[in-house]
Amino acid sequence: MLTVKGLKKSFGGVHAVRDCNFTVKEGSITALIGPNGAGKTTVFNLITGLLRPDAGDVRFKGEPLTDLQSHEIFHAGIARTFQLLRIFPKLSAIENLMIAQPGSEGMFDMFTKTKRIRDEEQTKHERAVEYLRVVGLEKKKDLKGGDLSYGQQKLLDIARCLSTEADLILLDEPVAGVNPTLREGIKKLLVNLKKQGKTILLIEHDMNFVMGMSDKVIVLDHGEEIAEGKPSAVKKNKKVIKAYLGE
Amino acid sequence: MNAYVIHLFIMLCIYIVLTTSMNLAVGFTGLINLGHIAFYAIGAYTSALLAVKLGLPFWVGLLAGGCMAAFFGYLLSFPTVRLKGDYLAIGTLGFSIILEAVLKNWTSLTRGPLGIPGIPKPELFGLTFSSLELYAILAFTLALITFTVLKIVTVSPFGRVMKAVRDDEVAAKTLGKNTFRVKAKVLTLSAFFAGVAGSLYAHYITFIDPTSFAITETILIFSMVLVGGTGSLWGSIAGAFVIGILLPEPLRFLDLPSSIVGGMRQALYALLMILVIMKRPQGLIGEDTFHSMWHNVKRRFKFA
Amino acid sequence: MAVWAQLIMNGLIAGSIYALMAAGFSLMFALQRFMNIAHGSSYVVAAFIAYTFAVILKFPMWISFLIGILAAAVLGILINLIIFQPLQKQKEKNNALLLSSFGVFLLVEAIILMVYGADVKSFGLPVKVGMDVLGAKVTPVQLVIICMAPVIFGLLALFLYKTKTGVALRATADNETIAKTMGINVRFMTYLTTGLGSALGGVAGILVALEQNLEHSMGMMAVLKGLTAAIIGGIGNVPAAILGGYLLGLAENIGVWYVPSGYKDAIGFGVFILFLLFRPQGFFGEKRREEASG
Repeated sequence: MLTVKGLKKSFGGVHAVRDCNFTVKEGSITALIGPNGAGKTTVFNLITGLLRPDAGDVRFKGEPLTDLQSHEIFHAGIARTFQLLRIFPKLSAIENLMIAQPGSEGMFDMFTKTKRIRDEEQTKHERAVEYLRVVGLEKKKDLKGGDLSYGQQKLLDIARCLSTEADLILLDEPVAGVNPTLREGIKKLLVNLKKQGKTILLIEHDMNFVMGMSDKVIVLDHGEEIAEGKPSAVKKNKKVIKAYLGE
Repeated sequence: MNAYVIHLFIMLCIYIVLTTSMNLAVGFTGLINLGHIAFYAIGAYTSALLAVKLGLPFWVGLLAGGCMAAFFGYLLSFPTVRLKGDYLAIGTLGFSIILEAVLKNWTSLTRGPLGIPGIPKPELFGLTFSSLELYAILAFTLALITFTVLKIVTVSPFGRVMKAVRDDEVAAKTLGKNTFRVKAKVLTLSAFFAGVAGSLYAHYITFIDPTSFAITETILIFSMVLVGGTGSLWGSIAGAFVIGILLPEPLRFLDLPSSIVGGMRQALYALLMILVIMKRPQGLIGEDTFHSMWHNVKRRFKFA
Repeated sequence: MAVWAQLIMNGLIAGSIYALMAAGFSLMFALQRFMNIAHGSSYVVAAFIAYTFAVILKFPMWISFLIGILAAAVLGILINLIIFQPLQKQKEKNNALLLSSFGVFLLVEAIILMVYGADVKSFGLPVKVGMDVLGAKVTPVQLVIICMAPVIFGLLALFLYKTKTGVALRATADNETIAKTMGINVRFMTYLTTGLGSALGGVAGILVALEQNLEHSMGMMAVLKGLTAAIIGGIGNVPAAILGGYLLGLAENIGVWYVPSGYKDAIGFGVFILFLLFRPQGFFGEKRREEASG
């Protein structure tokens, strides 16, 4: 579904991503792991068009993404979350989700398509509530995003990403800084999503979290892919052990 | 009614058109536009010139003034919306200063520092709005239309996108919003209404010259918007009233030389603006004021 | 030929002033990371304080100038201490900083207006006929401007690249967090850059006041030109900003040959817009790492 080939990006002489190649299969959970500074988030930023690659090719359903802008990539069917939370602090929880729903958003649509907007808002609202319920935040729906706790914001970000019903979901460290109970909850949620046929690519620093549920694990170190394969195989890979434990 | 009170009311209406439209950019979308006064000037000059030189009716000038301002707002958005907000601020500030120079120097069109006298009072439906009362009705109607249009825009899904762009542009992008286009649209609409306000002002005072639109006047509108409350249209009305009407009145009764009064006004507005930014960033009526009041009411009833 | 020599000379005079403003501005930007419009205050305040001491209190010229420059530096540091430092802690600090710097600038301008009035003042130097320098007519003050600016930039370069404090300052500008761990007093560096940057602005203000005259409203155009020059050169990079200043000065004064002189400032603005459109990182700037990465 997603193919990354020869991806390269450097910042002022520092190679953040050197030569990254991998594929993500439809309906699978793929994990991108690696130590801090391995270039995982940069890969996400390159896929979602927030950064332009120096070289390489990203294809989604066979179509090249590298020349598209972030918002066009979203409409192609890729949604993401952020490691550093990027929810809208002054919008309420429900608005944070409603904004992710499709619908007409022209400046004067309220004047020209009043009826349609009203219906769409109704649908958006229902779907938003539905997804807030999925992450257990339906009671907080009227609170401002910025007034939620860290864990709740994390869930809100995930819910917002899921509610887009994008074909491919990119999650950047969904459980970083999250307590163990919530961690299990998120894990279950992701497995459920996979059962529903969603494709997920997630970044995780913590290897144990991804081992149980991923179909495939890709290990990055210093911007280079050092291993790829089934979790059990990757776990035993010497290079991976070295990268994680250091020399 | 006292003529002076009606005059203040008309000015208040003009201020409201200016502040609510500026708030659309500054408060709702997070776009620091330091050149709102320039769009006001463009509206005033366009409308005045069309009336004086071509004898076109008021409503044509009003629309043309708005559209001309909107056009420049759109043009200015091109180089700036892709960059960090500071560039927009500097670009609009520069635009405002250059426009002042153009108004002073393009004497064949604007008569330069001499200004344009004898701008006719509006005529609509065979009615001449020459009396203060009639003009007050006209100004009020336009302020009401502006407020309504902006209110609907801000509560619409587009308004939600505006706030998202303000809160976190990167997130908005990855949720499929073309944030550059949103910013360009907001600047255009905001400039349009500033132009309308300019036209309304020109036909009321009947004389305009470049000094009416000096960059220092920007501070007046800015302090109104900030003191009133960014991200709240009601706040902008409150700000226009407090800063535009209540505050300067006592100054009038002090018998001081004009350079002192001018300086005092400017110092006062600037000081207020700084204080609000530092101590009460949400302003008198913030974005959340009504929201949280409503919540408190609901909570009281539930627990009572 | 003489015309071109004159145009280029005029460009260098204006360029020196723009470069001084831009250098001061860039120095501050490197640490504060916002476009400080209040930088224009140092320009005005230095000129008026120097005027007060030299013309009203009859102090010797050079002492008055030093006092003026010192006043600009102190004012810059005070503004930083009282307004910008507290605002750096706010959540949405960028817009708050930018707007408050605009407010501060207008506040200082208003105070100058109240104290000194709106009429134009001058140092009252005897008007000297221009001398011939390389085929262009130049007054002594203009010659001082042209020669003094490079000396100041040389000293600044010595300070930034050859002294321990200067190196620490550049390290802080490069990465504040790392500088902190290396034991650099970041707060002190902020005050140092503010003081130094404001002093540069002050020098520019006094030079212009000597060459032309003083008006309370003289700062707005100066700050705009300084900002434009810094952006054209490459923001946050002091040598680039200086070159940007000369570039802007030359562009405006050579451009004036083609358009009426009333539109000189419009040329500068046009150049600014062109840079925003096609090279926002500036002439010498490298593309910064985008803010996007999480």
